[in-house]
Amino acid sequence: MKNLCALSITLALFYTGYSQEKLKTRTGNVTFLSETGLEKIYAENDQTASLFLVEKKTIAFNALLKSFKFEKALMEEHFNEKYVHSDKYPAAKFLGTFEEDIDLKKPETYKDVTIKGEMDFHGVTLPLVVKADITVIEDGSITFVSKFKLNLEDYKIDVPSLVRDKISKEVLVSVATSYSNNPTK
Amino acid sequence: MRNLKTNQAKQMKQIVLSLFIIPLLIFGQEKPPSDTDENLFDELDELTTKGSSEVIATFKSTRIILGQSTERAKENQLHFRISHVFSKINGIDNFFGLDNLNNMHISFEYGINNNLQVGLARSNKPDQTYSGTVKGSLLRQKTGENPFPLSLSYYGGIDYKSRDYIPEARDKNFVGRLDYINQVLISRKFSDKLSLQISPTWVHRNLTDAEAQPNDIFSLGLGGRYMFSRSSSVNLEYYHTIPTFDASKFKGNALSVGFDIETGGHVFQLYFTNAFALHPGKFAVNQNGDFFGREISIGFSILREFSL
Repeated sequence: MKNLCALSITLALFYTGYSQEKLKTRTGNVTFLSETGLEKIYAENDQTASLFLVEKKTIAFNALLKSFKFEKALMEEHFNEKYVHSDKYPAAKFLGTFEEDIDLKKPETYKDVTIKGEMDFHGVTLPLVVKADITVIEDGSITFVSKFKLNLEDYKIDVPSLVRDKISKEVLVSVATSYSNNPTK
Repeated sequence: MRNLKTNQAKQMKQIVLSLFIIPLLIFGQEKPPSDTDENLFDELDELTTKGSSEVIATFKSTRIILGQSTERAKENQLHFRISHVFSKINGIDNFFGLDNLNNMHISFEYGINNNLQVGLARSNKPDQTYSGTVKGSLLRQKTGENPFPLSLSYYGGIDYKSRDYIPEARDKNFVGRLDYINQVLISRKFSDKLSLQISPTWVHRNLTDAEAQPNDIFSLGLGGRYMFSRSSSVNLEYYHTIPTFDASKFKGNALSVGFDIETGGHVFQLYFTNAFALHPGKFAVNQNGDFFGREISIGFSILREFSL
C-alpha cells in the first residue's frame, strides 16, 4: 500500500510538471531587410512553421518563399521569379541545436544562446551559427527571437550588376516565434 | 479475509495499470518523437501553411505588345504607361520614322485588388480617344495540389472619340462617339521562358465611318513571349480580324514584333508594328498598314509601377 501511495504521488507530480517535448507553431514570423542608400527592400512571412524540441535542444524552421509579402507587388514577383526561384526551391529550411547547457523547463530568459545548424536555401545547404534570445514562461511556453545575416552570394543568389547598388550583399533576417505549451491553443 | 485482501490487491493492480495505460492512450495519438532530421522536416512540411500555387510572371506586363495580356496591376499598384509609335519607316531619309512622332497613348491602370484592375487611357490618333477600361482576372494558372492549366481574364473598355466631326449632327451625336471593346484573354505559361495567349475580341462601334461597315467586328488575337535572358523577352502579337466586311483586308491585320526589357520597377517595350493606333478599339478592327509592304513603324512603351 505504501508503495502504491508513493507511486501515485510520483505520477501526479510527473503530470503536473509535464511539459511537451515537442513544441510547434505554424505562425512564426520571419522578415528580411536589404538596405542600401538607394533602396530598402523588406519582406515578411508570418506563416513560418517551426518545431522546438525541448529535451533535445533542437529547433527547426520551414519558411515558404512565396509566403514572403513585399510592399511592392513587382518586387515580390521579381524575388520569386528571378532571385530565389521559388518554383524550383519553394522553401528555406533551418535545423539547429543549442550549444549552451540550458534548462528549457525552467521559466527564465536566456540571452545570446548559440545555435549551430544548417540552412538550406536556394538549393544550397550551408552551416549557420546564430544567436538567439529564448524565454521560457511559467506554463512551459517558449518564445524565440533571433537576428542574423545571410550573404546572398553564399547561397548563389545572383544580383545583376545593374541593380547591385540597390540590393545589399547581406540581408538581415529576423526571426520571432512563440511556442505555446498548451496544445489546445 | 486472506481472500478479500488478494482481491483488493488485484483491484489496485488494475487501477495502477490503467494509470499507466491512460496517458499512453492520450499521447499515443501524437507521433512518436522523431529522431531523424528528415522526419522532422516531413512534420514541418505538414505543419506549414500552404502558400500560393499561382503561376506568376506569365508576361512581363499588362500588355503583350499593343494588346492586353492576362497580367494585371496587383492590389494598390498603379501602372503608368506611355506608348509611342513613330511614322512609317522609309529609310535613313526620315531616320527610320523617328523624325516624326505619329501617335501617343497614355494610360493609368490601378489594381483595386489582385483580381480587378481599372484604367483610364488617352490615345492621340486617330480620334483623340479617351478610354475607360476594366480587367478582371477570373482564373489563374496554378501548380501544386489543385493545378489549373490556364489563366483567363476579361478585358472591357468604352472608348470616347473626342475629335471634331463634320457635319455638325455627327459632332453632336454623343452616343455615336462611343465604341465598346470586349476581350477574353486566355494564356498559359508553358515554361519559365515560353508563354502564349489567345484573345477573342469583339469591338462594337455605335456609329461607323461608312454605312456599309458593320457595327460589330470580331477578331482573334494571338500572342506570346520567349525569354532569352533573365530580364528580356522577344514578343510577337497578331490580331486577325474576321473578314465580315468588304473593307477588311488581310494585309490590315495588326502584326507586332518586339522586345520586353525589364529593369527594376520599369518595363520597356520596343517593337515594330503595322498598327497606327495603339488602343484595341482601333487596331483590332483592321485599319492597319501592310506589314510586309513595309508599312511598319517603330514603337516603344515605358511602364512604371507605383505602390500606393
